[in-house]
Amino acid sequence: MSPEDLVKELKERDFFYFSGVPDSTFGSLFSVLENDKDLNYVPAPKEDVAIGIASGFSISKKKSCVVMQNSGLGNIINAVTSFNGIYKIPVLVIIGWRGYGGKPNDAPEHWIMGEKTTEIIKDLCLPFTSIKNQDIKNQDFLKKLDDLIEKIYKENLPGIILINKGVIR
Amino acid sequence: MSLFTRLEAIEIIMSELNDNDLVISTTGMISREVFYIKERTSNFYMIGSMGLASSFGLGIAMINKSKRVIVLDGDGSLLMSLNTLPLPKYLGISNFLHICLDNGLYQSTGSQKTISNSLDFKLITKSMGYENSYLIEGNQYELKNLIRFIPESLSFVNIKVSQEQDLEVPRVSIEPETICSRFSEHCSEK
Repeated sequence: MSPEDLVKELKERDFFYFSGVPDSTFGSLFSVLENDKDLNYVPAPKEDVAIGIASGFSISKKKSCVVMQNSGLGNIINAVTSFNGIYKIPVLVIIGWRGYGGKPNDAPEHWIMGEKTTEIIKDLCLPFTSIKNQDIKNQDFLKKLDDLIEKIYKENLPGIILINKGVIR
Repeated sequence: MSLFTRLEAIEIIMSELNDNDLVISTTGMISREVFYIKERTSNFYMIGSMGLASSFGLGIAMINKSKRVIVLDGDGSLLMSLNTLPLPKYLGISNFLHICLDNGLYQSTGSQKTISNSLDFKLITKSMGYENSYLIEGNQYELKNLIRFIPESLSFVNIKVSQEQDLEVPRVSIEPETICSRFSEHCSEK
């Protein structure tokens, strides 16, 4: 799926408010977010700040989305557990999977987190799905996205979609 | 002039609010004391996530442009979220009043020292793009007037408060989910 298509599909699902910290996994997605006049995108200095801002959008009845990479996963754990989890504030969190599967994939700084990412996310007990297949059909991608979004707003929790390099291109 | 207590500062701030103001108070004693002084459905008491009151308030301010958003931070939580300070100016936010109740301590965890005494929050926020930055040190009348007459702008107030605690105020007794849902009713701008 192209970054443009992903943004179009998110807009069709009422996502107009975004924050995040850049990731190369998603190609030009961040510049699409920055340049789309219909969208609000806040470049956050760190991932927990992005969750804070997106939660401010959510409580104001706007669907919100954070885009980031898994190296920032540790930075959101306190926010999603001690804040969103207990106040029930939903946010769609799109995470790029750097260092998929661990060593020797990607640069050394991504090896450990790349291996542990799904375990850590599963321990958080949040709505979660992942997309590994680069050649996934758009309709299958969107089915996963829609199922996740449904869970996020049913349970009023942050939900994570973890995406491999090459899926958004 | 000797410093007044945090509870006294909160009492002045809460008595000078407009009914429409949205208040977000940070984790720990500050939320407890706001709850004790003036419970309102448009108060958001942050129990967890120390440091995120300002980014959360910023998201709210971006959407609720006709309301004033007031964030009550402590010096500890402000230090945890210094990286958020440049954002309001970048985003062109003007309905944001950021207040720091600065006692130099992490009081809720047993009064360990913060490093706020070696810093100048007024200068820091000024350089981060806050339009108006103030320091209040012991003058209650000045604080009262400031909160009452402060123009609609991106503003910051550092209030040096004493390290004494007036009394042991109770914990916030409202369920987090309820705090959230009733606050959300005040955030209904299209």
